[in-house]
Amino acid sequence: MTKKIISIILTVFLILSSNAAVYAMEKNTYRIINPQTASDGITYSDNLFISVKVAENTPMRFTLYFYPNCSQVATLNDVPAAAFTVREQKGLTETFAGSDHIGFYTRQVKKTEPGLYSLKAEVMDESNNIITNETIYFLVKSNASKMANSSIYESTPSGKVLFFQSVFKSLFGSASEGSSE
Amino acid sequence: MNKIEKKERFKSILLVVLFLSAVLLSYFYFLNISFSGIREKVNDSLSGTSAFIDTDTPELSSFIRPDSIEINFGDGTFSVYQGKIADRWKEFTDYYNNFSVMKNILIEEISKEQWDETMYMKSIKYIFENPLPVSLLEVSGASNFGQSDYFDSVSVIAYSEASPSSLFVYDEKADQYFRIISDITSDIISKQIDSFSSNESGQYYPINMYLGTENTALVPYKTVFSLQKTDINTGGTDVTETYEKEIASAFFGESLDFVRKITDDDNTIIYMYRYGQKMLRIYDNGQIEYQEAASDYDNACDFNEAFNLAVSFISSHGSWSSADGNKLESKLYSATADESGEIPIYSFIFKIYPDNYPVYCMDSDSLEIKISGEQILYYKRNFNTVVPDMSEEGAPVMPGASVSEILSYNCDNIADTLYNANLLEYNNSEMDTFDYVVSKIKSVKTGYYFENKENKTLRPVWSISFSGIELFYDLYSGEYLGSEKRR
Repeated sequence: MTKKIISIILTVFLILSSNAAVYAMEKNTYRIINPQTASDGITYSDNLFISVKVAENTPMRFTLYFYPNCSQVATLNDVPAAAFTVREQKGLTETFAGSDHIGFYTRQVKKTEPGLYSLKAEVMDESNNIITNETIYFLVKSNASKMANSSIYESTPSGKVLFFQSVFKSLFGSASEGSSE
Repeated sequence: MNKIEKKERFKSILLVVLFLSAVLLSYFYFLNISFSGIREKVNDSLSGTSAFIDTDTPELSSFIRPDSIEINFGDGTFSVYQGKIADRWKEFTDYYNNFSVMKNILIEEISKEQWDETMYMKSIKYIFENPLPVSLLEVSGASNFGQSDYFDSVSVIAYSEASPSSLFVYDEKADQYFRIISDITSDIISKQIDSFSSNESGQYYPINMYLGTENTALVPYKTVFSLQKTDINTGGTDVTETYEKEIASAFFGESLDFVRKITDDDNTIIYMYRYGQKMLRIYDNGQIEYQEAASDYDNACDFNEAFNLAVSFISSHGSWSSADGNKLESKLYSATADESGEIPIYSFIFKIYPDNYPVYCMDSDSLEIKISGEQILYYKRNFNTVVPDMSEEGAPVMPGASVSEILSYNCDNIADTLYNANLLEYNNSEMDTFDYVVSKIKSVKTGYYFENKENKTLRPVWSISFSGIELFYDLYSGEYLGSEKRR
């Protein structure tokens, strides 16, 4: 019984620590600036802009994939497992050479088709071996769909309210102007 | 004998005429007056022209123009446009003027969060580096529609698809955001946004999308420019006697009554009216400084009237042209009011803006004028630069240096410069230096940097602004050139 518990704890710990290793590397070597996805994994854009901040002396390779079978999905969590298996590569795998200062890998995807994308980021060493490998998923939706949901301002005053306000303004506004002359 | 009488009369008349012309000629001979000089003066007085005085006063609205336009195309792409914006600004001011004739307008204050969300959608911002007093917006045609009850000055005026029948204003002095609500429906400004192609204005992205941190200022991503390094001549004018007389008579009248003239050791000429009530200094490089003691009149004027007076005074006392007679492209740099006294004192500074691009680090070239109660209190004129035609037609187009590279190469130096100038606290956060520097950027603009070496030149630069200081890097090579503290 205790052996089972110990083995379970050990496996859980190993799983978590491997993630920790990835996070530690991520902090030192690269950070994805854009797309910034909330917990629902959604980013709104008609022209996707990818930007990755890369630390000094970190050669990297980036590949962009598109998953054709899930354009109507609401959030990243709703994507069926089967959809992840079919993917097509968008453009070429791009190499980002390391330099002696912080650099930015950027990529513009003009007229982005809404749907599920993933970016594979691989950190290389001097002899072009892959050290780490991470894939980030994000759901791209059009800007128009975000606009439809926004309501920054409370409803603008209706015509009647504006009319009364202007009446008051003209009654009292002109009076105050008169006295200040 | 009539014939003899006639002959005698004719002889005496001839004698008188010859005698008088002899007197006249000897007058010319002894006083060394040349005929050509007279001809010029005659021509001048006949046509009424003089290099020192403009024939017509330029239109007031031509001096007020935003410094840059920031565009959010609404599809995830952005741009910043400087350069020739007169037509687009006119289109916008016409739209703005419609508000002044409407009855149903409402102005309300909004929060920064609402402003940020609004500008996240398809929008356009017209930016004034120095706050523009609201009354000077009226110069473009919009009479007061109640806006001066809410804001005194405008730093950013914007339109957004988030609320297409409104306009938005940011008052930097009060750090407040406003929304002007109307019931206009028009797609003029929306179409104007579409009219900016990225060829014209380059691709920019907000820092939070490109470089990290939460800063939403736009930085360049891919840009091309045709701005060229240009030699300029700041030699000034030779202060000849004629020039000096022209200036003095423009201020004190032809006859120079009650005016004394003093010449200083360093060749500065001082004209004093009465006992210093009015004083005019002419320096040997052509710079002019004029001061008047404030009179006791109580006629307060408003910003608009003062501006009108300033522009027409400069027209008639030095003109809007440079030393060589070329019309310099100048614009209002700043307009401030000092309300501490009984009546307000208005100060205006005009500077040259070749093709609407600012010229950095050239304090010398400006027109400064102070007005109070319809009286000119102070006028300093240093408009001696000869700037060649800087039109970009035919000039080669080159990509601008990458600003992200400039920032990452120089972030430690930038941080040191900011710490040393006491403009930045030491980085106590967990952010790396690059992030810390980038989070403090106010804006990245283009302009000309005045190089005051043997050959004076205007060099195209990137200007990276932080709160209190601007740093300049060569526009094409990214080389660091210098910095300037902002007032």
